[in-house]
Order: sequence, then structure tokens, then C-alpha cells
Amino acid sequence: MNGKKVLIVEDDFMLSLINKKYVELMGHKVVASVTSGADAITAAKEYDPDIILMDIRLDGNMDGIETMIESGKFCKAPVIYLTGNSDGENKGRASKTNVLAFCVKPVHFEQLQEYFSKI
Amino acid sequence: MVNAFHIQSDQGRINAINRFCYITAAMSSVYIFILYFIGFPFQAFVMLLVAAAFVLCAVLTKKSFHALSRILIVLLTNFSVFYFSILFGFNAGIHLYLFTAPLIAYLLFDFRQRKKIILTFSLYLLNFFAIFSIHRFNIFQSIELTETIADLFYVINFSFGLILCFTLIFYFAFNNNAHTGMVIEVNKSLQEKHIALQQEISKKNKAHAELVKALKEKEILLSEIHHRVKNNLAVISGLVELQNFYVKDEKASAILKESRNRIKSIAVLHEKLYESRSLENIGIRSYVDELIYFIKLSYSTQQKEIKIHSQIDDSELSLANALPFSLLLNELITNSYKHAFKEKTTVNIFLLFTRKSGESFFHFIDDGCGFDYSNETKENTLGLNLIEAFSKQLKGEMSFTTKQGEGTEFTLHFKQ
Repeated sequence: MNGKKVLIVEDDFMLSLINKKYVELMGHKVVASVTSGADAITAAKEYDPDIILMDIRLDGNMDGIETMIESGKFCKAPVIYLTGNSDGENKGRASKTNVLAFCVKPVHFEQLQEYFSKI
Repeated sequence: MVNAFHIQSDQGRINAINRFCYITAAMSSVYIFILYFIGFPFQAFVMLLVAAAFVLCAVLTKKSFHALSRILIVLLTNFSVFYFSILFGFNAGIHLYLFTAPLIAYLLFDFRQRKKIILTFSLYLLNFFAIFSIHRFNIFQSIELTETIADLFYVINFSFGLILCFTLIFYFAFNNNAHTGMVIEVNKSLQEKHIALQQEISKKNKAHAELVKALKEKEILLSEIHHRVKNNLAVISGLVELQNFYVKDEKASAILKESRNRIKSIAVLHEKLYESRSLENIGIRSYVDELIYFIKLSYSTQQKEIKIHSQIDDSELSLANALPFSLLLNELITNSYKHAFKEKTTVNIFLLFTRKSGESFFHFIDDGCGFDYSNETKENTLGLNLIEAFSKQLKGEMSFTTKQGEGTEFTLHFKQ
């Protein structure tokens, strides 16, 4: 299913660029790449994405899961969490949101393809 | 300090017993003169012996024969009172000395030596009843004393008995006061030590808390380093992968993919270290499972199916061994993907990792097509060179068996 609107939330510029390239190579469109939770909520309101790639540790006061809880009030897009670690506490918190996958960085192209194919 | 207190207390009692012996000896001397001058030379001699015996008690006490000295005092006091009471009759008032009995018992023994005190006191009481009974029932005929002599004896006995009582009471009061003062001193000193100890404990607790804090900070820092190393490797791996999308040459693309997988192997290692509590060892089973998942994923676009059957002991590897082992495993699986599929579409890989008494045994078998494991092949293949290099790094003994069409078997035995 091609042509999806994708929102990337990642505070590491290089990883954000890599993820953007992966998404584009899969034939989808990155509507915005932001680095903080507040910007992610604004972008979600503005672009109404079909899928969100969300880092858990972010710039600012909110982490990725808190951002998803907040944006979940108006945006029903599923989220692929990209995280530096796969600890159980975050997985537990993330389960309250519309999780598509919980992925430990670095994410592989084939891995993303597999997750996107589920939508 | 507590021991010193006890020694002082015992020494005080010894001194008191000695003084008591000298006082009774002095009192006896008065009786010697009286008895001699009123015409009782034999009784005066007996009294002399009693006086000498009291002095002997003092000497015994000084020579540390405490028990003997105390028994002798009890017997002497009982004997002298009994003997002279019977001899001169109840009216002479010698039995009045028996009223000092409780004080003598308390002087001789510590209040905690209850049995000895009760026994001593009972002896005095028995003595009194014996004297009283002999007088009451006229069992023994006493010497008839003139009224004047009897009165004199009574006055002297009453006075000396009273003096002895007061002396002993005064001693106890003084001793008690001295002990109270000593106890206050000891308490004060203990309190000072208690405060000093509390301050010391407080200092040590503070130092301990600081150490715990420093250790926690070190752990966080180490964990953060693993996290950052892994993130940096993720970026490098991602860049290599991105670059690969622009490479049209299949051979070059395969080389980039292999390089990316090697980087990924190390990244997963740091991820596992970051997750592990010790930050020094990693769980081999979960690491191998994750590594297999990523290697399979990276070859998922190819029309090749590898079924991996693993049996890995739930044990840990140190960081020093985990790195070469993970890269070695990556090379072996990659090797199978490259060489095992010439005539096959599905290949099975069997992984076995066991640990016994610090020795690790690793078996890798694939049922693929095998390959030519010659020096010429080794010279042209990085993967095979790496397998040998990592085996050496693990200080292990390896064997590689592969033949065209018969699959590949690799074994490694190393110490952990």
C-alpha cells in the first residue's frame, strides 16, 4: 500500500535522514520530520499522517510515548516506536497507544518494509 | 572502662574486709585485757587466738586467698560469739554482735552472690537460736559474773556492736557514693564515646552514600556510553545501507551489505550490554536470537530460506569474548547464505552452544552445498579469514569441515 503520509519524530538528525530515505524508497511520503513532542503534535494536527515513526527519547519536556498519548486524542495514526533500548517499562507504557511496532534502533530497511506491509 | 570499674569495686571490697579484720582484731584486744584482768587468763588466750585469726584473715585476703579468708571470717565471728556467749551467759550481751550479721554478709559477698549471703546469714541466725536455746533451757551452766562485770560486758558489747554496725553502714554508704560517682563518670565517658561513635557512623554513612552515588553515576555513564556507541554504529550502519541503495553493481552491493551486517552485529552487542545489569556481560541466548533475526532480515529479499535451529545455553559472555564471538557467528551465517544455496532453496542451520566448568563449546552445522575450503579460497575470502582471526582472538580451538555438496561443520572450543 503505497503513498502513505509519514510523520518522522527523531531528535538525531542523521537517523532522521536515514529513516526519511527508507520511507521514500518504499514509495511513501514524509510529510514532516520534527525533533520534539510539541512539534510532533503540531505536525500531526496539520498533516494528519497515516503512520508515525516516533523516537522515545526526544528534545523537550515530552517523550515519544507522552506525545503519542496527547496526539492520540485527535490523530488515530498507528505508531512505530524507534527506541534506543527495548526495556519493558517503555513497552508497557507504549501499549496504551496505537502501537504498530516497537523497534530497537538502528532500524533496517527490510524491517521497516515488514512493518509498513502490515498496514 | 567497664572492666576497670569491676576491678575497682572488687578491690574496694577487699580493702573493706581487711579493715573489718583489723577492727575486730583491735576490739578483741580490748577483751583480752579485760578478760585477763578479771581473772580469765585462758579465755583471754582464746581471745588472743581469735584476734590473731582475724589478722590471719587479712593476710589471706592480701595473698588473694579470698574464699578461704571469707570462710574463716564467718566461722571466727560465729565461733567467738558462740563461745563467749555460752561461757559468760546471755546477759553478758555478746550475742549483740550477731545483729551485725547482715552487714557482715553483705560486706563479704557481692549482692549477686545470693546463695553465699543466704548461707552466711543462716549460719548467724542458727548461732543466735543455739545461744538463745542453750540459755533458755539451761543446757550449759555459764560462769557466774558479778553484776558489775556483767554490766560492763554488756555496755562494751553493745557499744562495740553499735560501733561495728555504724562503721559498716558508713563504709557501705561511702562506698555506694563512691560507686555512684564512678558510675556517673563512666556514664559520662560512655556518653562522650557514644557521641563520638555516632559522629563516626554518620561520617561513614555519608561516605558510603557518596560512594553509592558515585557508583550509580559510573553505571549510568557506562550505560550511556554503550547507548551512544550503539547509536553511532546505528548511524554508520544506516549510512552504509543508504549508500547501498545507490550502488548498481551486485558484487559491490553484497560487500556493503556484509559490512553493514558486521556493524550491526557490534551495534546489537552494545544494545545488549546497555540492557544488561552488569554492563560487562551479555546473555548469549537473547543476543544470538536477535543477531539471527537481523541477519535473516537482511537477506529476506533474496529467494533463499534458511531455517535456523538453535540450542543455546542460558549463560553469559564477557564483553571481551562476546565481540569476536558475535562477529564469528555473523560470518558463519553469512557464509551459509553465500555458499549453501547453489542447488537448494532451503537450508537448515544447527547452532549449539554449551557451557561446562568455564569451557564453552560451539557447534555450527549447515546442510547446504558446502564449498571449497582451500588456501586459495581463504586468500580471496574475508569472511573465512575473519572466522579464523576471531577464533584465535577467543583463544579457542577451531575446526572447519566442508566439502562440495556435503554441507559445512564448524566447531569451536574456548574458555570463558
